[in-house]
Amino acid sequence: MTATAQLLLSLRAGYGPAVFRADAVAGLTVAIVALPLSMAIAIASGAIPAQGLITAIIGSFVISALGGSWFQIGRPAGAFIVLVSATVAAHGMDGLILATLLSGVMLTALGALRLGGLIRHIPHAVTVGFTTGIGLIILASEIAPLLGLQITREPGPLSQKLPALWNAVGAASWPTTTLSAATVASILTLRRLVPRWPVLLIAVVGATVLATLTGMDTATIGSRFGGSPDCLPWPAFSMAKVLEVLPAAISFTLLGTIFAAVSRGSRPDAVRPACTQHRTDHTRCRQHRRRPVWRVLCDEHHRPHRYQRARMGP
Amino acid sequence: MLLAAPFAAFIPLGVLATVVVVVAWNTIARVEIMHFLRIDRAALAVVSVTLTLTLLRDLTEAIAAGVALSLILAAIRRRGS
Repeated sequence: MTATAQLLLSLRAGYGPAVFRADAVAGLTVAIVALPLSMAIAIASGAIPAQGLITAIIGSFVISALGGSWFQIGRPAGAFIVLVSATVAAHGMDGLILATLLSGVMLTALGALRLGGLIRHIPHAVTVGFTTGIGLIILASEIAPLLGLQITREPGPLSQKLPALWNAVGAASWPTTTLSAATVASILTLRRLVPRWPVLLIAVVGATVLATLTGMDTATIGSRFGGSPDCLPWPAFSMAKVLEVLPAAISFTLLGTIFAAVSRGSRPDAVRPACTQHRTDHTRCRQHRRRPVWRVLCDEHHRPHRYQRARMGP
Repeated sequence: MLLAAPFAAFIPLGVLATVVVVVAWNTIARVEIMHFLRIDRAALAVVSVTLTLTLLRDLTEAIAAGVALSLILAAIRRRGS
């Protein structure tokens, strides 16, 4: 880890109105994406929407000011849902905050010892395997809210969760199911039609307006999470609690380092090039549809075709 | 963001769930898996082991097992050539 914060680097390089304008537009773009995402991920992680918003705001400042990269984007990461919700369920919200704090200490230590680079030796296949696993677990955990199911104490492990869902599926709420299906359909359609628009935000606002105007009988943020906390939480600190959340903190550190490496693009093989001409993933663009190796294709076979590096997953 | 927060009370939970579903769907590395399926069977084995352990056990275990299996496969490959 280079010890210099990005804020200092930027200021040293000179900061003018033109750069500020570009940064402001970029910041607004990320904020619009992060707005629905932060609340959605907070709920999926077992927290309340307000906590998601506050975390997104503080996190964005910290990442941008202290991060080690010029073009890194800091936004809520869906991949952490599984770890965070398991930690909240097992150790409570103060346990989660303590685990995050410990993980921060570990990450700093890793950086100081220059061990962060070791993460690059984790094979790409392993990253693909566990991110896919995380995606599937998240999908399973969203079945209940999508169908409007009311399950008291939904079990965490997949082997118990799926039977529990299957038993409850008869009680699915038709308005909620219809609304969810319509929202997913509109997100997918809008993505295809206007890929550069903030599709998630448009879909969320549209569906909310529709549900409110028609007085639809469906659970909302207001009906589930009435009040919001007006103060920042503080970790409960005791040696016993530290030992209790230590495994969770180690998992956070591991996942955090891997995703930081992927998001910074320091692992070129993990970064999927996107085709700017067709504004899609390279693999999905018509010209390269049947070519299996996207990486080779971009760098060697198709030089005149402009491409940009895109993130892998969220 | 803070300005928009009061209006958030009206957002249906099912709608927010769809946002997470879309994000999770993007997390699933379909393209890479198809690629391994066609070209790299050893990597596919690593993917399956890591994936299964992530689903049934936990993440740290899955990553450790995946890395270990990759090392073993790499050793075998080196010996074969």
